[in-house]
Amino acid sequence: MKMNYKKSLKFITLLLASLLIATVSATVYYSLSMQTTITVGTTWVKFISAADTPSESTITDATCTLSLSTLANSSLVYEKAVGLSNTYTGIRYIRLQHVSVSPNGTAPVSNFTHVKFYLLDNSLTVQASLNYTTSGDNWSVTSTTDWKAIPASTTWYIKVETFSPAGATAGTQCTIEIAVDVQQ
Amino acid sequence: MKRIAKQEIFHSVLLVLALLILTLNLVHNVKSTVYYTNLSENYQTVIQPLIILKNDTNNVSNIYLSNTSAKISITATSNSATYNYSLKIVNNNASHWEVKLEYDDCIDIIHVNTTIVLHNNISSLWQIKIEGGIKRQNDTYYDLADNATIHIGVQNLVGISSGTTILHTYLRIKTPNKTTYALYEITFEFKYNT
Repeated sequence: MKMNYKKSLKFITLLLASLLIATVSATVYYSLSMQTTITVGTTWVKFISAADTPSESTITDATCTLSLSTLANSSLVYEKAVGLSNTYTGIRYIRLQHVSVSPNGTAPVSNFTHVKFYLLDNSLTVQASLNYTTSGDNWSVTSTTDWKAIPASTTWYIKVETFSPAGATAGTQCTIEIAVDVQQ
Repeated sequence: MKRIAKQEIFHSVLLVLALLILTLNLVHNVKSTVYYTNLSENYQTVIQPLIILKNDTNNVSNIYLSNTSAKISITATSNSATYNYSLKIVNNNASHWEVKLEYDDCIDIIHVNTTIVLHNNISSLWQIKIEGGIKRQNDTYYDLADNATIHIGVQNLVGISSGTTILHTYLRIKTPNKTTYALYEITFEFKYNT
């Protein structure tokens, strides 16, 4: 029985190749060792009902579902569509981010002109906005907003402005999901 | 046989070592997130307007598609004239609203003087005044009762100098005690030739 040198040589080549990959990568990255303890956190910034929250809406601390309307050829504005309450004793940073919009890429989209989400501070000054606009059958949305500091024990608002083109078909619906990211 | 077994063990060790090196290398790519996300889902439904605009008995309005915007065109004369029924605002539902006219923009307001009012044949409230090239706005809401109709009146319209005055306004329709409102675009066009 002879030793299979050819096979051994292949395995040694594989080992050397692995070492080479690891070495080259190691020149680009380095690692920090971290031990993690996971604790269920508190939702310090939470959704709350506001003056213009429609009665059919569902609001929990971390999620909300709003049923809003849009009018043909006119703006419809919900100045205080939903509140964002910072229940923490210090500043928290928040931002608005697009998650999904549907339908998109199909004919019903042309029944909408724009839907704009504004982040208002407690004096109703606009701090940031996320704008959805249509072109033909497609939606486009502005990029994720910058982080904004919401002071301790303060309520801010999300204002929503809707607009549909003249002759829009009543009953047509679209769903927009946005995220309010909160820095821990 | 012993040699073959040793050789197999040797190959296995080499393979495990290679895989271990590659796996450990992947650990460098782990990232962590430092924020959580609250999600807001919003349903937008196109609805029929509960309040619509209609041409009124003075027949000076052009109503646009969907009945939520209009243009009022009147030719002024050197004598003061009043058009109390320029445009109808019709509330088609059993809800109470508050309405007011808001100035948006204008072109050449020097050609006429006039006062624009909201009225229901019993009471009236002035909304915008143009006098000597200066415009003023009342900024006070007027009631639009359940299933009621009110009117836009153009009062004391008088030509001052030749030309066309354009006044762009919004009719703000607000739910009482709320900050939800709709904006209907209403344009006034006043022409005057000496």
